[in-house]
Amino acid sequence: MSTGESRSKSLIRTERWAVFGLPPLLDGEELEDYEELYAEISEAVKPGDILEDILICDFVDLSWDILRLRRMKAKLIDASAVKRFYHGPGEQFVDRFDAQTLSQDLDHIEQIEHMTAVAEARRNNALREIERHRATFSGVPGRNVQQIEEGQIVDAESVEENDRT
Amino acid sequence: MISETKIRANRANARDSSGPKTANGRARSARNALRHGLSLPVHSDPALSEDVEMLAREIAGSKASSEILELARAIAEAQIDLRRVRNARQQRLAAAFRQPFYEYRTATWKKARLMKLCLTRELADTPLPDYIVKVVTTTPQGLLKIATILSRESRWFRALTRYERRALSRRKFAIRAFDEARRRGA
Repeated sequence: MSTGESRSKSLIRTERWAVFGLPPLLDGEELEDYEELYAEISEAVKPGDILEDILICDFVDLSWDILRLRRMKAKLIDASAVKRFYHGPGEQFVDRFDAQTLSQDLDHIEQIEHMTAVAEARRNNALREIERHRATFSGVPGRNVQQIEEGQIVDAESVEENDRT
Repeated sequence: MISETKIRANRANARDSSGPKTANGRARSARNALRHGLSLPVHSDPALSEDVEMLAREIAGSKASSEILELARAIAEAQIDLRRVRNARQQRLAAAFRQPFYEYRTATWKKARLMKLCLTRELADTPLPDYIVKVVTTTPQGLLKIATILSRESRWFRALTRYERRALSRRKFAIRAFDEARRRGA
């Protein structure tokens, strides 16, 4: 990474944290990944003023939450459906599909689906507000952001695959 | 048209449901607003007020009229409120995530019952098998831990979602009013 790039990244961090608060990261989540997503979306939308910055920040934070919730749901289904059973002498374990436990955890999975739906609706609202804001003064952000979203969905699926294997 | 009888019944019911009655109940409900402080306006905190003013000036620009500055202030208030709610959620989630043995209370109880069984019956004098030790000492980690936190504290997170929704709505309408005023050239 060049000095110019690192300077602009640290500037993004400082300004962003002052106005929008800390990025929604938990232990084990990489700030670099978050900043990459932030930079990609900013590059696609090219915010024209601070109001667009605010809305893009919402969009990025919510996208981050959605990716985490999707991975969480996949992990939860795996953990509920496939249980390790003790199998005879020698303390061997076998993995089996456990429909009963899965059905008990369905409420929990539905709760995560609901949270994902809420976050998606809010993220889409942020994008609509950028479009509406620009329409007042001209400019169209739509298509580029959609391309990034599709890329992120592919990423999320590949992460879910990795979690399974 | 609502009948007189119905109005009287409604009023009588309302008188009967006027909140907590006991001293303990009243003391507890008096502390409701202080649990996370998010129902207090941002202006009650001098540091947040300063943030609101700074952000409002940045949104309005250097040569803004008083009307534009006032509209920008409404956006800034909603934005800082939103930041406060999100920071509270993030802090709660991160603090729970850092606890090494976080899990459902029911899971803890089941493990305690299992241990009690093992220690009080014929297994009392023999070392516990590895699989029992593993079941008792393992707690959810990573994404499963986050899912456990969100589920176990769902009531608290739902309350925060309501605050967030209100702040988002306030900000949306404030931005629209601001844009409209700028379009008119105020």
